[in-house]
Amino acid sequence: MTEDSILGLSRIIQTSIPSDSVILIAGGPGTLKSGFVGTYISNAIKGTDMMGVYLTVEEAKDSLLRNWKELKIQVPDSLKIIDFRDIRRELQQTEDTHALSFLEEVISSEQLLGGDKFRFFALDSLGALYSMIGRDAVRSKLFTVFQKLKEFGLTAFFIYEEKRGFEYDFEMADEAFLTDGIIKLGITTKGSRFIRVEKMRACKHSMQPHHLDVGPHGLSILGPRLE
Amino acid sequence: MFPKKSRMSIEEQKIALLEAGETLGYEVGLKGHLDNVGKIVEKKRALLKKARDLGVLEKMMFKYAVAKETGTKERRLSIYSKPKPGMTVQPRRTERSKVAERPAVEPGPRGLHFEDEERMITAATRPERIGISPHALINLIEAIDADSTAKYQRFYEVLMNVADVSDEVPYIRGKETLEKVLSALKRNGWISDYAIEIFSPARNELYILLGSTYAKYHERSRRPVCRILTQAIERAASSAFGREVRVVETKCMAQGFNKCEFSTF
Repeated sequence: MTEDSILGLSRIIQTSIPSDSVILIAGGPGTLKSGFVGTYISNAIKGTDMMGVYLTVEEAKDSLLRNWKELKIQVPDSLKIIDFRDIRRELQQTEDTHALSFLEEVISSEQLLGGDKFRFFALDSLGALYSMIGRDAVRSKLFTVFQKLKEFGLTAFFIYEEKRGFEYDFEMADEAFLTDGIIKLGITTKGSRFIRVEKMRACKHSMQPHHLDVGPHGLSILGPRLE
Repeated sequence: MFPKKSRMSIEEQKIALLEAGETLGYEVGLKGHLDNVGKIVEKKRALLKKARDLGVLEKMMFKYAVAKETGTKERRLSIYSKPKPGMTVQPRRTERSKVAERPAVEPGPRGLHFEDEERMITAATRPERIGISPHALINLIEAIDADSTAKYQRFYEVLMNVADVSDEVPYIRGKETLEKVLSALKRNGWISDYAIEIFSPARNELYILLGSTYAKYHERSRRPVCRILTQAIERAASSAFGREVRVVETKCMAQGFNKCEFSTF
């Protein structure tokens, strides 16, 4: 995992993040959570033999790719986007309860096929998974899933949509405790986007919010936001 | 396991492949195999590669996951609801029967069932023993004899289930299951007194206090040590709640506490 996977990320994270980390990307609607993860993984694996998997249980694959195109994300072939709803529809499965088993199976199977090349995993989003299966059922298994990801040495991103207007979503306290890092994305009252690294184990980082901008080269992190 | 492709169209190959994945997933779930070691992993890898070549990898993963989940559920149901094939009924020792026939001890403060005086005297004059079922013993010996790369995992799995009382207690939904399991663990010497302080499936909350024989004899530890009891309680709690729950030991007698504490994670 490199600091310059997103332009300007080295302004916030001073040392490299351990590869076996589970990172929670939290933020309200429209804060570029998916875009941030897409940019990060795409840039990290581009031109290497590494591969990644982006599992979406919420947004359709086509819609996601359209949004990423607007953000100037060049998706490499080695980033596989899996649309859970699409597969379920094709197989005419109506039950949502298999989402968690499928998530575990994707991680195991991709590791089995890709071996050490499989380095990045993303789930979009935890909230959608909760709405399908129920929060309690997922939470009791999240620990096992996180352990598996770490065991395989993956850098994993779990996107979590917070309620707008809340500085801290208390419902996510358990997830925050279990993950190695929390990156919070938000929109100020004046309408500008910001990023703040709230937690990152074994890594020096700034706690200050920084401006997040979409420029001609895609996402970039600018200077610190003045309070 | 996978039909020969020579005379099959691509679509037929895809269907046959997905069916083969489904069958393997179901078998893994039903028999409780580990699918990341040994022959199973080779079979699974071959099917996944084939699925990738035919462009149905994600569908294969889905089919496999759903079938494995179904197989696992059926295995649990069969374990919890009926005796294992070939098992004879465990003969009851007279002493155990006497214990079972005793009137229930009235709950003490905070609902704790403390040992009655007679048992305390017995314990003082005779060393405590922990009993395991013949089924658990056979599994343990077979795991030791196993000659495969899965030996360690298999042994660990069996050892963690050595306090299993599924041949004594029907695992069904409701608090009664948890009470019966704790009672059986007490009968087998794994625990002494116990109390279910909180049992709330609706809030996913469980809080149990008990005296652990294992922790009592274990040397002082900085961490809780009753992993086998945790496993047994977790299985009972999952049945009692009607869904999978994760139980952790939050305080342990080996750490110097008076009782071991178990609660939902």
